[in-house]
Amino acid sequence: MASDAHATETHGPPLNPRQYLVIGLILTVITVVELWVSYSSLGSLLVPTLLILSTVKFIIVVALFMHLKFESRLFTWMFLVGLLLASAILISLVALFWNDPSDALGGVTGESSGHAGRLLLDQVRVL
Amino acid sequence: MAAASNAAQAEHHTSAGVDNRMLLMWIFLASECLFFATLISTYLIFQGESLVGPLPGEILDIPTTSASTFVLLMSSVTMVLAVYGAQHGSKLMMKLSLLATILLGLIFLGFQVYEFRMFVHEGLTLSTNQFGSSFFLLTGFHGTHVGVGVLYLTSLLIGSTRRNGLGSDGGTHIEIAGLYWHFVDIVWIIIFTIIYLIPS
Repeated sequence: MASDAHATETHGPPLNPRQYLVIGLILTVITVVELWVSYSSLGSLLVPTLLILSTVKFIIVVALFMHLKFESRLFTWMFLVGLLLASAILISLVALFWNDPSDALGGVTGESSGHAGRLLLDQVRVL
Repeated sequence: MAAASNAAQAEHHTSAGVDNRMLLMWIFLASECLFFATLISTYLIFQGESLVGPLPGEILDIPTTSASTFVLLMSSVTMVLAVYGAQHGSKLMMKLSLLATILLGLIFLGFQVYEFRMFVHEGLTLSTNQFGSSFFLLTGFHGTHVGVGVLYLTSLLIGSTRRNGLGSDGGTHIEIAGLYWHFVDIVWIIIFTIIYLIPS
């Protein structure tokens, strides 16, 4: 029991079960909204809306379920470095292949690169 | 026992004042970000390049995958409740939540097996086209991570049934496993959006 008390004192999660359930409910609601958005005709707003919603879910899970908001800043920086490098790799690779003039193969859709990739790149350019 | 616990805690702390096992897991998860970034990049690069079908718009079953996404989200809730139970001395809550997480993880894998079998039945395999290759590679590796997570959590659940449980710092063991499980969840949040929700 003493060790349990010690563990609670040093590493205890700052949220209680009811709050975790509320967070779970919020994540579910966001997922339902994402689904609704994906079936709606938002046009050019569709992709940024979906990206924002999934980013919100991502941040909620990392900050509150993984307790990064309450942990040492060192963990945050460690994870951020990986995340930023990963984002750089993703954007660079997609941009490289999208702008490759030798890629004239096209697919059954007659496009020279992925639709989602192009939409993502368009959003990055806008930002 | 408290002294032993303090000694155990001290052994695992770095000069930075953090638990080195937690630090290791965060560094591992950072490297996993790079791993999944390359797989997602591959999927995006190959999207729209397939010369033959089936294509994503013809074959992806969004309602079914939404259900599996909900299952994985709920497994994150049960996982965080397991961490709470472990760190607040509630062994019953920890064990039940761990068991629920394992079961939800298995249900998610069941959904994935169903989806893969359906796709193969429809004629989409790893070698059919670029979409098939990149889709099975990305979702397959994610599924493998879920499988590893299920095994990881099962080993902790079995360990917790021993007389000494998971030891004096069992809460930290469960928290580290929780970090891995939640990471698998956030990767799926991205995969679900990019593959299923963004129109192809």
